[in-house]
Amino acid sequence: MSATVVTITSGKGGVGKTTTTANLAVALASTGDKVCCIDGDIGLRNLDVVLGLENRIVYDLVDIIEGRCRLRQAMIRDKRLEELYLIPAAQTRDKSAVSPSDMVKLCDELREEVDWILLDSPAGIERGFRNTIAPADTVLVVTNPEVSAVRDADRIIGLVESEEKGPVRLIINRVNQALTKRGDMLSADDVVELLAIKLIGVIPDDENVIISTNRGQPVAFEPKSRSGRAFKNIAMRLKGEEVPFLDLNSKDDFFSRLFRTN
Amino acid sequence: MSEEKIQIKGISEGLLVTLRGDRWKDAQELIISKIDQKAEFFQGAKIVVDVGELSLKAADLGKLRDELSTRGISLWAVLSRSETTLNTAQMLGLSTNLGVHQNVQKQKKGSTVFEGDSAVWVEKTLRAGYKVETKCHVIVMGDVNPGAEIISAGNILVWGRLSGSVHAGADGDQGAKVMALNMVPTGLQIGDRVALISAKKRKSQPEVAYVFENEIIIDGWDTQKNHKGDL
Repeated sequence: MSATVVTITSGKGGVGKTTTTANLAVALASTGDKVCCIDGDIGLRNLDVVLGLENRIVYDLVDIIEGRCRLRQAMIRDKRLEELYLIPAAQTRDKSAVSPSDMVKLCDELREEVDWILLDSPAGIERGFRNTIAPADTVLVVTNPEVSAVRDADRIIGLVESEEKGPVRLIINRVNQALTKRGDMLSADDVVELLAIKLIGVIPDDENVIISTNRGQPVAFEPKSRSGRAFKNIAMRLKGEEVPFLDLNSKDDFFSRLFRTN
Repeated sequence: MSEEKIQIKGISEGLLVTLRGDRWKDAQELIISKIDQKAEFFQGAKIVVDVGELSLKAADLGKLRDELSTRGISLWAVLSRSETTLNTAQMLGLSTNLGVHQNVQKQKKGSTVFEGDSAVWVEKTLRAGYKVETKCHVIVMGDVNPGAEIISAGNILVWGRLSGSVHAGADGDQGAKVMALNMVPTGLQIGDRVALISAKKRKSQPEVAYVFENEIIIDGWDTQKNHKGDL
């Protein structure tokens, strides 16, 4: 086995990096692939909460790097999905506890064990960002259709390109079709036109995401919801399959359900 | 050995440090140790580094710049034969050639051979946080996104959408021009003039900005017109 390291980043905080990481991990693991996600936000860990695994933490990322435990010991196995693992961040330390080369070493060791390594990057462009970008094979930039988030995404893409990491793919999260139609929000097309990188997924604004995140049960466990389906599609695209994009214009009414292909 | 790998000489723009070698790490250590030996001589110097073939990334050049600036030395230009290095240097806002913009067209009387002015060629999209600062003209083949910045003593031509911030004629040349296929800048300055950018959507057509009667005007490109400003 040799895993692909996928780093999920955004620049701006609060656009949905952690939610995306958790959902992609669930979506990939439910296809039968072995997935390990790593929380790169040392000092402000929350991927464990979103995945509903916070009460099972014994060792964390910094423990592995400082040699207090073996890699295997810090990997928390999800009880719902056999193939899903989490390496949590340390809560009592900060970003400087880990260096980019530590992360490369750790991922190289982990590559042999799993199919996918998903790295959840912290907000910002400092140490924490560089730690998570160093081992990346693929970078997913998450943004919202808001001018400020798009600006930060542009900056991040520039930094990733200057590190010669890639390919870089775009996820547009929380697209509200009603607002876009009224011209009060950037459309997915506007965002893609400005950032000029390949789109890998559009996640509709969906209150189920908030509800499921708070319950520690990522929405990708319920592939019937629109957002759950969108995450599933991204997972399939990561695996190299051609999946048509959801038509966000369609209301989720009887007819669209009838004619839905994906 | 080390004598061959590093050469330092005075030029009109400051000091030119020529580094030769295969490994950037060695070259960097060499230059720092040289400087530390003669700390007083280098204090306050402006230096140009010629790295030859070495292909350097942002982290490499950024580190050198930081190391030098803690020693009171400013790195202002990087010369190289490597495309990667030149792109990196431009991204960090460092100059990549010593050519100084001249306002006069270099053409001898009676001759039909132009020497022309030198320009910095950027074949990529300048994203937020990228900066090009140079004494030469600037040509960008790609977009200039919001948050990116171009400062040129000469003209600026963007073969793409200009939505970042640009300053042409930055040394005070009011005759400089800014041209773009799609002109929607967040900031536009020519010489000491600042343009007022209207919020309304502009037509997507090639446009030219220049100073006319002390104000920056933006005109649709018209081959019949010469788009000449005050100067």
